[in-house]
Amino acid sequence: MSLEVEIMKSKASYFSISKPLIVENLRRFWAIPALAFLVYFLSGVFPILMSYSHLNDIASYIDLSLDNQQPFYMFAHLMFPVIAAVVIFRYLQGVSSVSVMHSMPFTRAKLYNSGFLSGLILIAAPILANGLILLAISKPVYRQYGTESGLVVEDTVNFFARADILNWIWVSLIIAFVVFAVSVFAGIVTGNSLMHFATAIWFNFLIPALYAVFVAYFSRFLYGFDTSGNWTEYGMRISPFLHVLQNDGVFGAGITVFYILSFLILYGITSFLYQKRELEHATDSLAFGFMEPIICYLITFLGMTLLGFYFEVLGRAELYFYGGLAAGTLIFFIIGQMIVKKTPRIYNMKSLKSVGIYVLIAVVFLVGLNFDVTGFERRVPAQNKIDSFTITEGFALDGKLTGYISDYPLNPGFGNNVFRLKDPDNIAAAIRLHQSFIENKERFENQENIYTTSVFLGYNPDASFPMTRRYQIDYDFYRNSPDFKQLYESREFKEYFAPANLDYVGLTEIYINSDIPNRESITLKERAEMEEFIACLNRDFMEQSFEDMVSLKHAYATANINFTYRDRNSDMPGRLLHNNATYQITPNSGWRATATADGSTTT
Amino acid sequence: MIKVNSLEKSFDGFKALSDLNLNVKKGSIYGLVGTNGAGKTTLIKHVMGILKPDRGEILVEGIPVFENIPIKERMGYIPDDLYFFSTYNLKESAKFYRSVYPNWNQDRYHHMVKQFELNEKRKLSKFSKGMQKQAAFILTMSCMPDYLVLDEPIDGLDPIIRKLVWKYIVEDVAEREMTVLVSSHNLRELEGICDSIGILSKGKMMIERDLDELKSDIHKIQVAFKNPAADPYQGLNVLHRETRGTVDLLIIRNRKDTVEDVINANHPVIFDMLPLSLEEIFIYELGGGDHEIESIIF
Amino acid sequence: MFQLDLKSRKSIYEQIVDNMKELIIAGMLRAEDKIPSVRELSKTLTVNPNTIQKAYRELEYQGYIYTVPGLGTFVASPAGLPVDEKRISLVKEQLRENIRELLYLGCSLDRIKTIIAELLEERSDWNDKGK
Repeated sequence: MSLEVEIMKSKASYFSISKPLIVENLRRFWAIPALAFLVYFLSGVFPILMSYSHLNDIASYIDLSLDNQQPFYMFAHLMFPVIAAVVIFRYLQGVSSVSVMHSMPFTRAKLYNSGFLSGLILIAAPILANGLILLAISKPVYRQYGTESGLVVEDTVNFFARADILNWIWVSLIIAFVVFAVSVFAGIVTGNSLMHFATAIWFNFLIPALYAVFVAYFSRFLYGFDTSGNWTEYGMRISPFLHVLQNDGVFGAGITVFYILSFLILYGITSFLYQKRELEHATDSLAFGFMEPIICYLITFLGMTLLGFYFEVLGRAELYFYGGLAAGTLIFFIIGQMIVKKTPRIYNMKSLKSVGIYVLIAVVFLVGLNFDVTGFERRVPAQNKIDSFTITEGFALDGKLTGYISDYPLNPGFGNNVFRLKDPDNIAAAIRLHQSFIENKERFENQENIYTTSVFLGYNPDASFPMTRRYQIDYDFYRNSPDFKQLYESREFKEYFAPANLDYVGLTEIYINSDIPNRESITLKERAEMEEFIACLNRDFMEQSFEDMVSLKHAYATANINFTYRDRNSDMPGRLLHNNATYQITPNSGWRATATADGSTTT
Repeated sequence: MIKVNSLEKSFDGFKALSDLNLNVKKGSIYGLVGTNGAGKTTLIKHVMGILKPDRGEILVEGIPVFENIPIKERMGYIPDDLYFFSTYNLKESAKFYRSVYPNWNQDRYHHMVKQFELNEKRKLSKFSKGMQKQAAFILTMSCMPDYLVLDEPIDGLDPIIRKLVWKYIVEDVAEREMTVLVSSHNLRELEGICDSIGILSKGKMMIERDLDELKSDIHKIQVAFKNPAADPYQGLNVLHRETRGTVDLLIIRNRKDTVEDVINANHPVIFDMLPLSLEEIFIYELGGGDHEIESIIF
Repeated sequence: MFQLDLKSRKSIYEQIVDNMKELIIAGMLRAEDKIPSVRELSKTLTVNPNTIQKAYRELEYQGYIYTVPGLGTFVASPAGLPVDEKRISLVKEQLRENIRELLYLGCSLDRIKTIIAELLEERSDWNDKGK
């Protein structure tokens, strides 16, 4: 009696598997999970076992590993699923093997599902095994610091908690499964194992890579394009593999759903393609005709971009860029066609037509960018659509005036909010400012003045896809801008940065020092004195004019305020942290403040 | 039985098979012959449900063979390019086949392994080509197939093994009415075994006949007349005629008695009638018109 | 039972028919003797059973053998044989050839007659045995 197991008893059952096939795959390819297990074990469990009596020493390594930032784990998460996919579906890529396998009493669905499931088992097993071992040996591990008084153990955060391990298992499985699904897709559309392997690796990074390429084009062509921010982050997150490289190893609910959906969609599309695959393409580069222009154009596009930007760096002129694009197109199209057709003889009408279409698309793309067909550069938001905005620049707002970047633990002003301006007058000023940037495009793009800074403008910064711009402006413009003046002299702005709003719990001391040599330094220790000083500072600040604020006057003294505060945004909000803010005092009732933060903790 | 109707298949613009019809009766041994590149392997891969046709249908016992699990469980296939799971030995392969084919016969498997004197525990990749063929044969026959499809099966086997292979095949045909489709270049061997022949050329089925009928329909004769009539061959389908001295050499496609009647009517001095061998029929049908080919025949 | 000559121009089917007939004619197989079934013979000779089947059908048609379902195939008694004029004329043609050759070899007509008489003498007991 046959050992087949049918899950759905329908004639064209898409989910049926063949137990004998799965058993054979596991038997034949047991080396993969064995090797993977060794890699995970030797890089993860083994160091723990070696230092088991003094695990705190390797607390940060454990943290790194469980966040999947550790290189061996990352290597394993990528390579073993790819190798499993290549090896399991290798039979499709050889003429004799594909004939024999498909002459046997298996439906294509059975062959595909059995192979797929075998792969999942092969890559999940070592992860689960190591996870279980880690769970078994887990014990509390804390970061420790050397201080003057000896070793301090920060036992508030356990880096080896059960929850962290379970999270590692979960995240690793997601990464491995998605990589596997992509690799299987690559296998079904390619015709030989070399192409399969290369394409599997490539496809796993393709979308983020394309993303990065498009960002490169946009930032080159579009005046005001900002490369930081959510777009880039989201682009990188499409691949779970790249995602973990970015953040702290935890996947949010939304992105997890996205990965699971991607996995299922890839599984489904590949299943469909397997049904349609013409087996006679074994040993060809690609098994589907429609993939040929896709792959060829991708290679050409990436190569064209590479040469274009490379030439430009060498030659520093528009001509070089376009020359590089043209050269890249030619060279990489030829390479791409050769790869895709698996022959050096590609010089025929078909290739000519193909490159013609590509060139057409490329020209449309470049012309579109050059002439800003989407109106990106000129676009300025409507006042009523903006709730708040944020602005940073490097003249005054980068430490000289405030030093307060949103994620530093020091945040005077509105409690622990990050820098957001909401006043409608300010919003109007910001829009006018933005407009002035656009109008001065010529001036800013052909900058000869070397004293410039990058201005970042972010509208509705807490939305998922805020509108952001970045411009390089010069000091002269900045100093004479009425919009900057309005913003910086506005009440909202001043209130945000006023020294009186320094959110301190206790004042330790104020140390006033002069840059002029041979002057005395003053240390204030009395609370009343310190508070009076701060009040003076505050009054001066509130009255200070914009011109004064941004003047290049040199400070004659600095005041260093040591204080304690509580960081409500941290995971231990009750903890008392130390910090100090440094304010520079300039003549004519102006001053500038810099804050330097060096946190230390006490219980 | 196996029936192929109006099969058409192209690869990248190259027409491999056109309007191809094939009919293999149940319990017969059908020999598929053709020049290299005629499309034999392509046709066989369609019969096994590996390739999908552009047009046409492939039916086994009246049902399309593609994805047809019940019929594939009763079909055995030995390609000319063998494939085994890379690290497997015969024993492990047998275990796999056993789990896949419901009619697997373990006794026969053991019997055949002994008869062919193969080492079950040795990796198949280490076997010589000939031994691999034997292993493939054992595995396929142990599945007790009702349909056996062989692509160049006896290439590389020594005469003793060849005899053994045919013996098993003939036994199964005799005992279980197994249907056999075999493609080969070795026409002499096929001649001794097949009852039907299909000749494939450039993707088309040129002739498909019962072998004996095929041979009874075409003859090679040597004739010499003392007093030749004007046209002593009138009424005969003379495919080829050559005169060497007083002797005429002819290839005639007619029934034997028809030929005899017509020739004898003119009282020949010399009259030798020989059936053409399959090889000769093959060469003549597919290479006809070429002088070199003709000299092979004569 | 008999050997097949695979190199012969004669098809296997013809060889089986002829060999079987020879055995029967020579008296090696007598009436009511059981001959191997199609299956058995095909296995013994490693010959396509369809070919054997055809040969047996031809032999049966010519009256040399008969089949009883379930029991097997047997040699038929020659009495029941229909007179095969065509075959007879063929054999007559062969005799004509043989005689011509004997003449060519230098035998006189008398000598030929003697030879024929000798041969017939050998077969005189055949009519008895066949019954």
